[in-house]
Amino acid sequence: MKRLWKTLFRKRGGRKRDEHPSVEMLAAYHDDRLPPEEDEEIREHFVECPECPEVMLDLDRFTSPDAAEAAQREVSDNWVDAAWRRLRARLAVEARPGRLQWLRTTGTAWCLTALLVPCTLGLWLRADMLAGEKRDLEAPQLNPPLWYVEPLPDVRGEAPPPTEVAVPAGARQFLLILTPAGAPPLRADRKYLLKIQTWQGEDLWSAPGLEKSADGTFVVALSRRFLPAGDYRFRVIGIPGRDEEAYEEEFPLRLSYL
Amino acid sequence: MAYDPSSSDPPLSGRPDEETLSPDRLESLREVLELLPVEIRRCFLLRHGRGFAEDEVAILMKLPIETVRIHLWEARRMLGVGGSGEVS
Repeated sequence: MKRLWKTLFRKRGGRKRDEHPSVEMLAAYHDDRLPPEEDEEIREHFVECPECPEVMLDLDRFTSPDAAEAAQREVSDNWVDAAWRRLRARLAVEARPGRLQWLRTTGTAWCLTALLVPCTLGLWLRADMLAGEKRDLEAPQLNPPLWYVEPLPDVRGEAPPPTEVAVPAGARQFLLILTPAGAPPLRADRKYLLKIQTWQGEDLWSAPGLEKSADGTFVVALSRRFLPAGDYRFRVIGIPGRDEEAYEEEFPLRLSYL
Repeated sequence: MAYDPSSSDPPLSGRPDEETLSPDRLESLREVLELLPVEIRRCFLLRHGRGFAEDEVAILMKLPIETVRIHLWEARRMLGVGGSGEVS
């Protein structure tokens, strides 16, 4: 068999049988870019080589006009299909009612307008009223009513009734003079905590920084809008320093507005 | 005859074909093949030794297919081989 092969396919050109031409060389052969003698070598090699003719035929299939046209048609079809898919997806998204689609209807717009107009009007009236109150509060108030509030228990050890505080109609603010039973045992420059509680003991408001006045009382100014009518406990708490006793007194009052 | 890559013997035909000659037939034609013109011999060997189709031979040899058919006809005539490989 080897002898037969050597006889039939013996080397006739300069190229050995084992030396395959490169793909570039085959392409050049295909495109008639080789000199005639190399063309002859490759033709002879095709007769001998079991691989290169297949490569050459593949090369011809890929570079033939039909193959190029088919590839172009495939690419073009793929591109058109992809473009259609994108367009259909885009149209589907735009046609789908979104979360805010209901806002785009005229009826909804009128309903929202009908709701917004009274809301806006109400807010405007409320703002105007608050502005008036602000002006009243900023204006000086002459002769604000004041009440002296006794602590619980009093100096006699009896539980007094809550101090009646009846704020007159014209008074925007009033003063409470919290009168301790005795001199608080803390230094004069000590500050206290004021806590306002309901009669049941629920905290409503508290703030530190309450100072004892020169006559040993605590003064609190209130607006009539701050507390509704009712019974309250005003607790004054002093945090003791070194060598000082703790201080806490409770001032009950019954608040009403005339 | 299937091509065996592990074999040192190259195949006589790269693809099965009804018109591919057997090795014995090619051996019998050896001396006569040497007498053929180069182009005709190549076309004959590619067509009947390797089993390529006529249009493939035309591509490999860069010849018009009609030329390939004429070469094959001449080769068969000179070798006394029919279209099916029978010696006349």
